[in-house]
Amino acid sequence: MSKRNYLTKLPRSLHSANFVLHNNYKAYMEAQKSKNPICWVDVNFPSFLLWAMDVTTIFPQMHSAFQAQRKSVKKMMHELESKHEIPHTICGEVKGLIGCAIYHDNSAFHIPDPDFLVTANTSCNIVSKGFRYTAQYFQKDLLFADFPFSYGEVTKEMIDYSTAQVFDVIHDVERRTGRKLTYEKAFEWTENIMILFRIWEDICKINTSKPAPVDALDLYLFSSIMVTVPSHEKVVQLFINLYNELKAQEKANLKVDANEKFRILWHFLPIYSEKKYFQKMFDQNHISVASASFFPNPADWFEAWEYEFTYPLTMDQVDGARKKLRDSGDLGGNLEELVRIVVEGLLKMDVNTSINQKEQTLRTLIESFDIDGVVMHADRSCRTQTLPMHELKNRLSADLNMPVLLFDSDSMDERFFAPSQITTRFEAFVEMLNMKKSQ
Amino acid sequence: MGKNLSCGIDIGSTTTEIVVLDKDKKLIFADRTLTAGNVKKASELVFEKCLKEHNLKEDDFDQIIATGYGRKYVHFSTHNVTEISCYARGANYVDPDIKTVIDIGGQDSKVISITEKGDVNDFVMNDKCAAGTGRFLEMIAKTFGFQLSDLGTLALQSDTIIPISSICAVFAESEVISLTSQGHEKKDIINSIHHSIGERVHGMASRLTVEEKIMFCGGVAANVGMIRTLKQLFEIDELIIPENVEIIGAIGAAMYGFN
Repeated sequence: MSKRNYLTKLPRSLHSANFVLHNNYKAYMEAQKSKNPICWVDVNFPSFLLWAMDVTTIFPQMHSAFQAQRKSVKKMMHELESKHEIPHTICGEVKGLIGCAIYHDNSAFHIPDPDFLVTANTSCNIVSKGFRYTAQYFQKDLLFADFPFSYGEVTKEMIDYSTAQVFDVIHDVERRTGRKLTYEKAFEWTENIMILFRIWEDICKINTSKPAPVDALDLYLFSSIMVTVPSHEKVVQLFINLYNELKAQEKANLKVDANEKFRILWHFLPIYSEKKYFQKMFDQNHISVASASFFPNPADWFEAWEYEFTYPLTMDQVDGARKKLRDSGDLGGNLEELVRIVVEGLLKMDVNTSINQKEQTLRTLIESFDIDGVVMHADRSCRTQTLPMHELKNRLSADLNMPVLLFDSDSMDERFFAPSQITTRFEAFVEMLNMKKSQ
Repeated sequence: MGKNLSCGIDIGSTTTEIVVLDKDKKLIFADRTLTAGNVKKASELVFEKCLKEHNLKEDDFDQIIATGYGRKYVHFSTHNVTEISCYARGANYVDPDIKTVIDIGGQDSKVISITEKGDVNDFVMNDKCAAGTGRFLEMIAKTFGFQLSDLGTLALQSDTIIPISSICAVFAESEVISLTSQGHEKKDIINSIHHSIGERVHGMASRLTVEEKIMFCGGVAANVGMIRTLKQLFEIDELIIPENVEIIGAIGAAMYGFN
């Protein structure tokens, strides 16, 4: 079994990421102390618009995901079900969110209580219900944005409606905080997020190299930082450093597995608490996780701005990209246009799209990253995304003549992880990969 | 120096089977024993018996392939392969026209779609719930005080299907007692249990493309009631149940030795 080179675990960037997260949690406590408005927000709402109003945003779903990585949610889940009578059939993500409110055992950083909460029903109403329950617990207001599901094209009517929904939330926040969302501030924060996405694209693209320089699942932490930590300069610098660290590895020919035999795509969420288990199985079989469905869709790889980043990436280059974005006018000329553009992007997000669009995204990733097989995680904690997986599996394996493994587990709740069952399925999948390769 | 022999050992939760194929892939030895919770002992027992009967040594084998849930604990094996791949290969050995394998064992059930060469095309498994496995039949046999081997014949005496509403075998047991108290005949209840298991397997199979010929194997393949139920649910006239159904996995493992 090959042992992973320590450097392919991105030690420098990981250290920086932990530092950024630590400071983020510190900022929560400072906000509580200074009585800055604190909002618990759903990951599906464009929170950078709240950052533009200097509202402190906390993402309880992400907080519980970090706890799950530390394997410290088991007790919480058990107590929620037994003491607080939360049904065990509710998904782990929602239990994690409720647990952030009602369960405390000092195993994770404390997060302050909210002054108000914001949720959106992108693809799943259960999370919104979880936010409603949590809001009732705190006796605080819940602001709700209703986004229509996209079965195909995103129409003007959908954008009109969703824009109005976002503005309803924004105006409510303005009223309760006394702070106005200006176009300039909204532009600045939206621009920051766009820059991060641009760098993120190039980071993920590095893994088209063979063998892969990085395990795609090791990049998941950074994708969640992008969405949940206000994208100030330190976060942009983190992504610049990540890009440079990966590029340096690529140039030094450092690979996850120099004897890479198979490249797989991981579909949907990782299992937060079982990273080591999967790494061991991948290493034993010389498998690189070259891509994942949380990677940007290669079909959308940025042609906007036509700005090429080069190694080593510097803040000057990023500022150049920023200037080009501003000059392009792609973020609209006023607040309404900007929000419409943001909303259109939201409606096109994978979680809000139909099986046909998901299939296209996966096909594009499979082709771009030269994938040999797909592993699909049917996540108990996200049934709406799991629902189309059987059909997706059948389409991909039939059309592409490719082994596709579908197994069920839970990204959040470690009690639903069954190693011996998963091992049997995984080993059969590897045997299928080997057979396919020998033909 | 090897004698071009390939040995397959299938360590199941209940039984352990061994098969030896010669260089022409002809079956020259087969045996079976109870695993009895001791993988090491069971595998050594069948292997030593094989060596003694045919005057062989361990070195005479080019490959010793282990499969089944205990496959990683056969210390004298050269490789281990999952039972999914071995059942595919074993089915192909029996009849190259077999395209689908349905395996219902004591603890799990699986449906495997296979290629003409005996490779796995796709598979689905249930190893988390007793309701779609032979374990359910064992529970019902115990509840009614019947021999497990008699259940199939009893099921054939009925054409009635009473809906079993519980999705869990444990709760279904209580439901069965309740149905008995309501005056339902045991043969009807037993037939309904067969139907319930068959429906779960059929539901699982619907995630794949099921093509004939279909082979039925595993411990439950000896149950004539289940054979009828599966034919009804899959709407087929012919279900292949090989003579040597218990050793299909071991045959498949031995066949992998020639890869």
